[in-house]
Amino acid sequence: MAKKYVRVHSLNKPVGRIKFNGIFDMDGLYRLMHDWFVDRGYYLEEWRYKHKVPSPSGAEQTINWSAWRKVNAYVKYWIDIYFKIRDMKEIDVIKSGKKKRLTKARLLITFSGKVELDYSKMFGESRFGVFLMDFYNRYILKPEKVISNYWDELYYRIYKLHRVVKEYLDMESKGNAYYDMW
Amino acid sequence: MSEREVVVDKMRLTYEGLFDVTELYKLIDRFLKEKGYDKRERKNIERVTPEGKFIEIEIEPWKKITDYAMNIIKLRMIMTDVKEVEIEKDNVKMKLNQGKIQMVFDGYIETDYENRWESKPLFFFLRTLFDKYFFKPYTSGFQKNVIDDINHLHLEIKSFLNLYRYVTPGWTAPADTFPSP
Repeated sequence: MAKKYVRVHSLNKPVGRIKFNGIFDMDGLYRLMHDWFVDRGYYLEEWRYKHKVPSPSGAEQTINWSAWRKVNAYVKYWIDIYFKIRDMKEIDVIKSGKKKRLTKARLLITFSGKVELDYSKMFGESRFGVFLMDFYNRYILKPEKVISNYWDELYYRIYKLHRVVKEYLDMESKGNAYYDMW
Repeated sequence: MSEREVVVDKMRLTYEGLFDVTELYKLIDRFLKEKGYDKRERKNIERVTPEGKFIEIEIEPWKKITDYAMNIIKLRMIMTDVKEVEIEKDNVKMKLNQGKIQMVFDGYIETDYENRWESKPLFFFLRTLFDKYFFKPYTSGFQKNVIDDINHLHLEIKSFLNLYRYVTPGWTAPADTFPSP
């Protein structure tokens, strides 16, 4: 079997997972997360938006986002967000004397990320180029020295978004003691 | 695959009464950061039920000790019937939560987490040999670290919940030798 050269270093498990069952502002959450990415210079792609016809228990939505950002000429961060919303119903709530349309649903958000190396294919696709890239990644950048720094940065940045979502949903476990990391 | 050795197995803490969920979460998060653990929040579930909120949080922070071994603490918290109540303390009104908490602490030592010693059967054999006979003094020291960290966290949480009555550590390392009769 041919040896596989890796251009993408994935965080092997999802970084965080939030499950929430209750009433929340879906539009606001959507906008908040979108703005979080845009404000931090990420290019956001919504590559799946699936809406299932409502059943008596409510509608079902699946949304996938991939956001990327170039760190330098060689490294690119990817953040993947997966939303699964079940039993979704729109309800009208009166809050502080104002009528507001909110969503009652079961929400799952999964956060994951990956670090892509040589995204511009500087080393090319030839066998020699790939060998050089592998050598560069393995012995010059060194996974445990340089690449792990990028990995750490991305990891803790994802936790910042995780915290923002928890705070927006007013979850009891809000807060992040690691806010000053990266 | 890396190997996990169970050091603390299902140490429990149960509490029912008044507490502040957010502060408890922050206390644990801060504690782990100060001890040098990296954050890993595997599960965070919150559900509103007629009896109150159901909250389940599972965290699995880790700390690399060497490039061969790392400490892992696994803490699972299940909070049920969590309601918001308002109390008055020293003439100041405070919002707290009332409910039940169940916590389960596990501690592990994970060795060869980079899977360096598993590429060949000979390496695997050598690793086992070294783990068992040569690195034992090292790994037993690592075990003690995990136990100490978990005991410390356990005591911090007990103190936060006003359960600080027994100052003896909740979990002790198994003795290497039997006491003389």
